[in-house]
Amino acid sequence: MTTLNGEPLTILLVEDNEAHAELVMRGMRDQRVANRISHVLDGEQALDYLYCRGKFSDPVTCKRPNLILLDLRLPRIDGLEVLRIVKESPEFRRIPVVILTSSDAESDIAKSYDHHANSYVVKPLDFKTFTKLMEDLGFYWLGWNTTPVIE
Amino acid sequence: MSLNETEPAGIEADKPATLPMLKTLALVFGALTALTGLLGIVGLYLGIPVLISVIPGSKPIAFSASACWLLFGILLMLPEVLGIRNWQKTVITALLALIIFAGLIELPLNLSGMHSPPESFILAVTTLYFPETSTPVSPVAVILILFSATALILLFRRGDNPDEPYVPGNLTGVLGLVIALAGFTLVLGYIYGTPFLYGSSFIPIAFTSALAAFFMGCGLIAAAGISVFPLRYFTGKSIRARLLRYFFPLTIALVITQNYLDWFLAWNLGINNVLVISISLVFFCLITAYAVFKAAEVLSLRVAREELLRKKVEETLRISEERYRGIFENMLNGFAYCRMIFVDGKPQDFTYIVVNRAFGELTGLHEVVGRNVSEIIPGIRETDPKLLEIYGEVARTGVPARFEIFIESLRMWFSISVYSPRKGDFVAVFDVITERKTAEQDLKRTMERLSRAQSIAHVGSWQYDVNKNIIEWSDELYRIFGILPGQFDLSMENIRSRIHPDDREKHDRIIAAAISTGHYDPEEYRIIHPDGTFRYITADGGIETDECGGIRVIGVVQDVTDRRLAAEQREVLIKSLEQKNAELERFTYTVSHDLKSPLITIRGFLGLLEEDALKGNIPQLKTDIDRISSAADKMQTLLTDLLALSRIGRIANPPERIAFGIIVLEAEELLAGSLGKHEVAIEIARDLPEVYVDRTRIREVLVNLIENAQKFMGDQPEPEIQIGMIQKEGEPAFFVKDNGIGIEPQYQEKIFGLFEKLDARTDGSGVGLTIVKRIIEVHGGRIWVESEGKGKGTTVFFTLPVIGSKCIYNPAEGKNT
Repeated sequence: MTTLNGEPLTILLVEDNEAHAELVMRGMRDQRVANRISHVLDGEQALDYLYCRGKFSDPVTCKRPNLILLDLRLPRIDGLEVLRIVKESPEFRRIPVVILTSSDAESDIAKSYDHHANSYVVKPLDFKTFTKLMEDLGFYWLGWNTTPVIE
Repeated sequence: MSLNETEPAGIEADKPATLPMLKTLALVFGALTALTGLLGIVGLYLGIPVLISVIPGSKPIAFSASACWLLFGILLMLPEVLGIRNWQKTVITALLALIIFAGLIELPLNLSGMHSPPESFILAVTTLYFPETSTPVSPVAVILILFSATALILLFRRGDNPDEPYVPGNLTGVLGLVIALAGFTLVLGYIYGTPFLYGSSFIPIAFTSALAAFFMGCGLIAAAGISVFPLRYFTGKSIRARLLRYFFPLTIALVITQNYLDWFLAWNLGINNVLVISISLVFFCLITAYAVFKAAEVLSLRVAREELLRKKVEETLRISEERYRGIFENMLNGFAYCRMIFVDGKPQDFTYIVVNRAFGELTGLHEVVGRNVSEIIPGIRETDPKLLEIYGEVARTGVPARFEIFIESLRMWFSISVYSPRKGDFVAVFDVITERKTAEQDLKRTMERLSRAQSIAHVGSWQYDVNKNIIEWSDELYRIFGILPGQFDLSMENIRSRIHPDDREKHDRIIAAAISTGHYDPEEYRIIHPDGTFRYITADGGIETDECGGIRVIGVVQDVTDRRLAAEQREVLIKSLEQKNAELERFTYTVSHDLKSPLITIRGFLGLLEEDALKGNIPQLKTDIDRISSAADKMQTLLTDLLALSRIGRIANPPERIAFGIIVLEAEELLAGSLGKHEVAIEIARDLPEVYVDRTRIREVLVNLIENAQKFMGDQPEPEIQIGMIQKEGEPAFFVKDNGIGIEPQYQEKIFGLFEKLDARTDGSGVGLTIVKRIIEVHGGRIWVESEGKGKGTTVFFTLPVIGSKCIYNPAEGKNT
């Protein structure tokens, strides 16, 4: 479960709220669904991470994620914009992107799917639900879900 | 015009009625005849020879002849003196017939030396009593008596009306003339002692009887009148009548004078009778011939001239009358000659005297001549008192009048011209104008309705006669242009000057196109009112051509300013509502999202806290609690800022006039502590203008901007902030400029969004710049950021109502005026 073809599984968490990021990471870590979670604070950093530039230019730290958990309202570059760039990029568009946000606005949901988000999940208020969701997300996307071979 | 009067006048000229003088003459001769007869009877009775024979030794008058002349003389006078009735006429006629009967028997007997029984009886009686003077009647006397009696019968059988055609009347004159001439001849015979003339060889007629016959004949001629022979030839205007009138008396006078002279010369001077008579005869013949010749010459000239003139006048009259009669009968106007009937000086009624054909055709009233209007149109006095009043006034004063009137009783409109040919009469010439009047009223009503419709709809109409270059406007169109009809000369050039300069070409083009193609393009223009304000109008129209090649452009114009302004206002409102709506949507979305975040944090870490507590992981507890606490703080900040944001625009301090520099200094003072700590140099421009603003809010803006600048200084070794003003795109713009980290172009708009932060880790809720933007917008200004990129510093520009500039802040409306 923790590896795919012997490779460690990596999740890119894009979340401007550090508390939320900690909640997600602790939820995932407890379930041990991911080998590694990389957390970035805004859209710009997310793209820098993907393209291994800026402070992520070190090839050791730069690693292609198996799953992107993306918040929508982000400083500098908005979540939807990041989604669009990822999904339009031939290089990254096969990476499953799960929108994880506190917004349950219709427009956000519609726009996300328009930009080919793979899933849209609203952050639950309840702690137990939140923990369960993190567990399920990990199991589903990194376990049950089959991803194409990365070229 | 008195057509009815010329006719009887003409008749009178041709047929003169019996003259009074002739009546007198008839009376006088009748009296003389009767007197002669009476004297004969008296002479016979008293035995006075001079009374019965006048000339001594001559034959005395017979009793029967005297009686006849007395009777005839009385009969000649009778009708003139007393007047007689029909039955009396019959009696007289019978008596005269009896005398004629007796005369007819007597005449043949008398000629053969015998006498009729009545004459024998009378003769026997008179011979018995007056043997000296008794004498039988002579045959000539019998003939004259027979003639006289016949003439008298004819005279009495004549009708009362002298104008009536009367053939036997002629015979009266003829008989009268024969009697008079016979009497005259017999008298002359006695006077000249010529027994042949009075029948001395046979049974002579008495001188008295001859005289009576002469008188009788003259009387009969006078009684027969001038309308019959022989006096007929003396009357009238014919040349014959005139010559007779002039020369008949002259001839008689000459003959008498000559006779007198003959007698005078022969007797008094003792000159040879035959010689004197011959010489004087020649002399008088010459004089007479010359006089006649001269008189005839003068007279014929005069007569000919008069005749010519008369004929001319008659012809003119005839033509004129024919012409007038033709006009009168054929004229389309009704004509009525009427006589007004006044009662107590007030017009009460009138009588139709003459009307023409059109009168009946127009009014539908027939057979009106000789009748009163009250009889023809009963109740006209009550229904149309005005008509009688006007007619009465014209008939009374003679002042003509012209008027239009609706006659209630006929339900018709008349146009009447009335004048008075003579006092009390009036002539009305009229036309029935009901149709025209109705059409006029209909037209008037239609025009009023149209005008009202135009004014209600704010639609004006116009027409332009291209050939004649005449333009006409409806009243409403003047109102639309804001001008009074009298004060504007409707020429194309003038109208053009009232159109907005930018729309004039469009107007010219459309009119030209309409004239050349016949198609009018509906269009919207702006026009200029005299006070300089603009109005919006829509114009539409069409082309009318007539058979003479005339072209008229007709059009309607509607004032759509109100509608247009309303539409504009509505659009502005809709836009602002849409904006507000979008803003609100964004706001609620943002709020729900950003307020939910700390909640998730709090509940999440409470769960973790519980777990950590159960595990006894004490150091972890501390971090959990810190997370919860900071999330709660964040929530509080968010709420506070939101409240602040919502207050802007709702709670406004009154704007005041203040130097912008002062507000800057106040802001600097508030921030003194933090500025000093960071050692940021602030440079404030000197010539900052006065502004008209909410002082507190603008200070808040400056504090915010300075704080921001300070916050994003990065690792700048010589941090510096400049505050000043420059002209940007023609308007003054204030600026706060720093030399900090700068902003990439793509984020320059984003930073003003609600809860937007460029760095997730910096302090603050992300509401500050939103509040700044809102405050500037409430002041009617704009705010924007310029930066050349990362590390190149940032400049925030904003505009505000500056004193001396046109934009004045109005807090009540929250926008510039």
